[in-house]
Amino acid sequence: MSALRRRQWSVVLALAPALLLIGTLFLVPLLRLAQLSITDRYPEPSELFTLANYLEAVSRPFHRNSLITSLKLATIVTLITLVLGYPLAFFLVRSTSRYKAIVLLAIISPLLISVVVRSIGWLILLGREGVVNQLFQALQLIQEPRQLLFNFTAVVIGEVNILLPFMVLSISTSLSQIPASLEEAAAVMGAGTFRQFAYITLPLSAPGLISGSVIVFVLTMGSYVTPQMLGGGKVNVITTDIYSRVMVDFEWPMGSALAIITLLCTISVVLLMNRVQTRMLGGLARGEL
Amino acid sequence: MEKPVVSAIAQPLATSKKRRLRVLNAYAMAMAFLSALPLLILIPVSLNPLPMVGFPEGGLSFAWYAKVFHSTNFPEAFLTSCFVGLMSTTISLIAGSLAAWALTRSRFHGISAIEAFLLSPLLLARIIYGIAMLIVLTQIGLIRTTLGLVIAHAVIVMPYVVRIIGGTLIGINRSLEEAAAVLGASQSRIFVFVTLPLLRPGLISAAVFGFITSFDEFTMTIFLVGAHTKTLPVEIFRYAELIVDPAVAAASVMLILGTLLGIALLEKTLGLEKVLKA
Repeated sequence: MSALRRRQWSVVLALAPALLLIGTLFLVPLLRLAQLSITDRYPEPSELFTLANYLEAVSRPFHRNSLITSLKLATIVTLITLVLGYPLAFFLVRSTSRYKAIVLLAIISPLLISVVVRSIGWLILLGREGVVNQLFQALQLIQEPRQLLFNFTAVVIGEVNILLPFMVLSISTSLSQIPASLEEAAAVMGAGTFRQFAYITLPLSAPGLISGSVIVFVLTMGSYVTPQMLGGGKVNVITTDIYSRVMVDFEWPMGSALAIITLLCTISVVLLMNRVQTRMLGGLARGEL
Repeated sequence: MEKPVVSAIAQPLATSKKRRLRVLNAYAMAMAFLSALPLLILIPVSLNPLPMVGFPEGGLSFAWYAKVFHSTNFPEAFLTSCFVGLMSTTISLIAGSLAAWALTRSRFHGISAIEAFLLSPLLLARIIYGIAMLIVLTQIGLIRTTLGLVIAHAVIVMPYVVRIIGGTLIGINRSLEEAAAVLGASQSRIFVFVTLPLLRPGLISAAVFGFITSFDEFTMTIFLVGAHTKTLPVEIFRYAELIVDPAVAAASVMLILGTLLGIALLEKTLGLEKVLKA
């Protein structure tokens, strides 16, 4: 009995530091953020409960447009990483190439190497005097150097580069769980490459595909460095908007409200995709897909 | 009788499969090259003898690397980043591995809720957490201090530690711990003399991954730094806002080389893929 007691105590003690850390330095700040978003000004609020910030966020075209641009960016980046990432995941799971390790390292390096450094690389590549312009001029594809930076496309390129590994790892986890014998069986029964893929590989990798999409979407919604550095102030997304409100205009309550709106948007997307996944997997179990 | 039939089917299958794999290999190599290109381009640029962002013409020069050390704020920022990384990793390593041990070695009501709570910082966009910490650190007077950075980074790093260590703990053969218990060892002795040594690869991986995560953190950190507590990524960002020159490329190349060292260490201990998928 006392041994059991001691064991229980040791579990409580082991959990205590982590719970304290996350409780006081994560949960409390978030609650404080939510609270600040419903006040009218900082530091001395005259109103402790007002929805004015939220109303302004959805009614003022600037905030609304930056939110829409963010959602558009996240959708486009998700679709592109999906299309580019699927074959890569397939390569990582199935290929016996001896260059596999190098490909893996190159593809997943954005997970570990600073996004700021990577963005500087893109600035050098896509700049007016940059390598891509020089190359195109040398090949006489263009006469005058073009500004390839500071627009929506540049931001999409940068984001895809950074978020591709999340999609690839997610899909490859799913793919690696499909037994090769299933496809072999289908091949022996006379199914062509396309049918094997459409009826076996694709449906069975759907969970990885969906979770990868959710991760990429959420991370794009929250990304700041790439839109700021490659958008150069010309691409306004919700995160650059939040940064300006908080660090330039010092409108903390407004910035907090925009942050909470971003959070709610991402949560709804995650819940929606969860539902899609449950439905699809339910259909799969019944043999509908 | 059967043999020719099988090979008749298998032969064309094998060749078409081979062709498809070759296309796939070529695609993967091309994507790997494109992915690495923004990093690779920094190397020739940093060696350019002229203050131009382009391929060096007429010789290579390490002058920009010297400039990084002598006439920029990068060394100071590097030290700040190292200090914040070491401190926050130490805090989260202690709190995180204890929590991971409790979560994997006991069963009680609400355990999954506690796990979800401890991992929740992973799900929140860093920019949102950045503002939340800006508000709270301002209130308690720790804004723009290294201590403020350390505690904020510890919150970011800890969930990764819980996952990596938790994953390693699940992989450890429980019967070794049970054997020690049967022989009369107390919980704490089992932890120190049995579990901890078996945990070593996980601990090293978690420490390296935690340090890299803290070292690279930008989106939250930019809300919390002061003029003299800038971390390296923030300093590089501020520099690049004004000018992109070979000096910033040189600093970036050094940062990449340092990170590659960490990646090699991860590959040696738990294995890179395992750490990233934890």
